[in-house]
Amino acid sequence: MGFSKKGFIGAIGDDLPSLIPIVFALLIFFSAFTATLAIYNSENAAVQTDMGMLSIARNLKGDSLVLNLSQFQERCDNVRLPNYPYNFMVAIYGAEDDLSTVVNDFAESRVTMDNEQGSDNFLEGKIGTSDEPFLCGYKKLGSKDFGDIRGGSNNVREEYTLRYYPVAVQTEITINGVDYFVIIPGVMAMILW
Amino acid sequence: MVKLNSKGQAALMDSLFFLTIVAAITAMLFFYMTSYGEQMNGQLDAFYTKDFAADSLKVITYVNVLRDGDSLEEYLAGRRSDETPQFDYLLTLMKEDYSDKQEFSGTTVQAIALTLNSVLKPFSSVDYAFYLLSESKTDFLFLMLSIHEGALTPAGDNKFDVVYVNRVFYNCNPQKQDILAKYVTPYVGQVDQSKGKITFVESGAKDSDGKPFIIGLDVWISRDLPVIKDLDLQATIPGQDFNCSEIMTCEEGQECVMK
Repeated sequence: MGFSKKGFIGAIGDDLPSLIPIVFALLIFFSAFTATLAIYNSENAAVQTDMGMLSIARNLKGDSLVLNLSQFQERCDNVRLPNYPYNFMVAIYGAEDDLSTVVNDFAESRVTMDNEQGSDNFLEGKIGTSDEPFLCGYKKLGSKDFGDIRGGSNNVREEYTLRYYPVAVQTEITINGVDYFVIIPGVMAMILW
Repeated sequence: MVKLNSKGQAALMDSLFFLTIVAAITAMLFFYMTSYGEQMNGQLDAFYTKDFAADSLKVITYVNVLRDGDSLEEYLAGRRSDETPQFDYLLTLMKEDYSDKQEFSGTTVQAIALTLNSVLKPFSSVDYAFYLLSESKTDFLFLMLSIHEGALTPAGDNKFDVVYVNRVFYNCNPQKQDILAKYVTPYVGQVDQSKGKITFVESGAKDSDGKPFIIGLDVWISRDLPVIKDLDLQATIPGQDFNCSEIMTCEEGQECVMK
């Protein structure tokens, strides 16, 4: 009895139809794997960002009392060490202030290690004889300013994280020509990108 | 007898089995992908909200108030210049009142309401309860509730328009310490609590004889809860159990009005 050759294409030819589901399966698998890996990396980055923000906020607000602008700037200097991994800006508002402009206020502001240019909406404190805003921040070398990422470009989505923290701020007020130090409630706004 | 070659069919079945297995693995990957990070994000959010409640309580105890109970913002805004103000810590007013009468005066209650409103004003979507509990007694030394009250009007198709929403402050005097745990906490979702210990001393007593109290702040996202809606003294049970009187009403964008 000889070997029947009906329907026989060849050693490889016979297997060609089975290649279709195999190729399809491999395509599905690697697509899903790539998508999962991308989401895994994205979630990890978001978690790291949130943890960084938690750490910065706890260092800056301390026990939720800011006695003066010098103390605030000193705490900020302790946080923004060289090669700090995050871009951030922190500012303090009065509790009565409208917070709907916060993102625009940060977009207008610029911070360097030696200088801050802040929005007029920020709470101000005295350094010497001049009033300066309660504002501090850090920008990695080569990173864009927050205002520039909001200018937005093309198809790249730049994300930022914004949180608010209640703080008490000691401030100087003058009533009837007499200076008083009073502690008022404020809001510390932090943005990280 | 003709034998059909079955090698090609076997290979095809194998590849279909392979496709089935890969489809199952892909489904597991998608399931993992949708739920990855949820637990960690939830924990980080919990850290933030717990910090928020703790920071709010600290700020309330740090801030200065006017000794006549009026709004400090009036002076800061330059709207009162008729007399030299007297500032002090809110805790000082509370301790002085306790020392005299073991209860808070109307001026102090007003100062507490204005301070709470000022500290938590930027976080307008929350309701909260500020309280002082005795460790040795069953009732509250002080309980203030700040909740949203408003009215809706039907706008057709199961939709409603907001007529108004105000923040109302109540000074309550319930008889039992578990009233919040019984009527509020289980029904408003996540409640972020912050507590601390504080000592009040009665007049003539030594500091070492001070009585310990728990000072607390419970914060939750505002919810429409029937028992909270009905806090007036004439309300039906269980609103009556709170034994509240309205202290202050704050409309959005306007100054608060004391009752």
